[in-house]
Amino acid sequence: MTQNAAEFGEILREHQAMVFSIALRFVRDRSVAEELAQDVFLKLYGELPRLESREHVRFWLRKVTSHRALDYLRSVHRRSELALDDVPEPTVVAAQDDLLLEGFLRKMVSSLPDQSRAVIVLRFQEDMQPQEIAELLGVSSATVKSRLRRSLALLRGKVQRLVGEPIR
Amino acid sequence: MNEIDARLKRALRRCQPPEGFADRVLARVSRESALARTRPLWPLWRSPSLFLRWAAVGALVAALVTGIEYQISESRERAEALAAKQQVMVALRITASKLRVAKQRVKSVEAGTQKLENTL
Repeated sequence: MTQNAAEFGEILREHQAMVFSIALRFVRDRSVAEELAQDVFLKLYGELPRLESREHVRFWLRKVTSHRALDYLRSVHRRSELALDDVPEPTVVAAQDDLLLEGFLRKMVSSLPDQSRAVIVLRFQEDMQPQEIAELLGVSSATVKSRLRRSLALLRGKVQRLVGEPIR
Repeated sequence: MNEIDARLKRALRRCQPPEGFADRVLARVSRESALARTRPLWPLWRSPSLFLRWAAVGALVAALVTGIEYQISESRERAEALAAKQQVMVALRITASKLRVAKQRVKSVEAGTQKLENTL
């Protein structure tokens, strides 16, 4: 095994969850997400000699995965997504019933429009700052912040109605 | 960090890919690498449109070069013809002046003979 292949195997194991999770939350289909994640790693293998550091590799993986997933969504014209207001709310959810609430939140996030969902996933799953997200998606920082604000306001309203008490 | 942020972070935790994902990626990588090794450097038949594009560019360049060469040789021939014409003109002028001189001499000899005949 060459040094390049050994290094690739290490990177693959380190970042597979990140790449797969971004793809899954963007495309909302496990088999498509796996196919997409495989394609991203395959491309990485050819690209590896040109990437200068581990940090560069991580940025490259996030960027390529996000763009490929958004391209995929554009290509299938998946307009069947539910509007956030159409997501049914569970009738009784106790505030401390975190598992149920988390599931509900994931469902609400997946019903957001593609670009807003991308911003929310990169911000809260990948813990990226708005400036980093803007750089990665090729949009302005103001756009990212406004998408974040709008989506969070919608999500907050939904959760508030669900748990029956104000949420910060 | 506020409550909704914390809840979103928990809800959007990374998830593991399906079992055997890394092995499938590695298998694809080695398959693709093997294919790349056996693939010719310039697989024209895999991309006929690219081949046609390059062929068109090649034909255009060839036509351009031929046109330029033709222009150059044409202008060279024209210059040579012009030079030859000028040489002929010079030769004709020289011949004409020589003929004028000869004619004048003949005339003067004839005039001398006439004069001699008259005196005799």
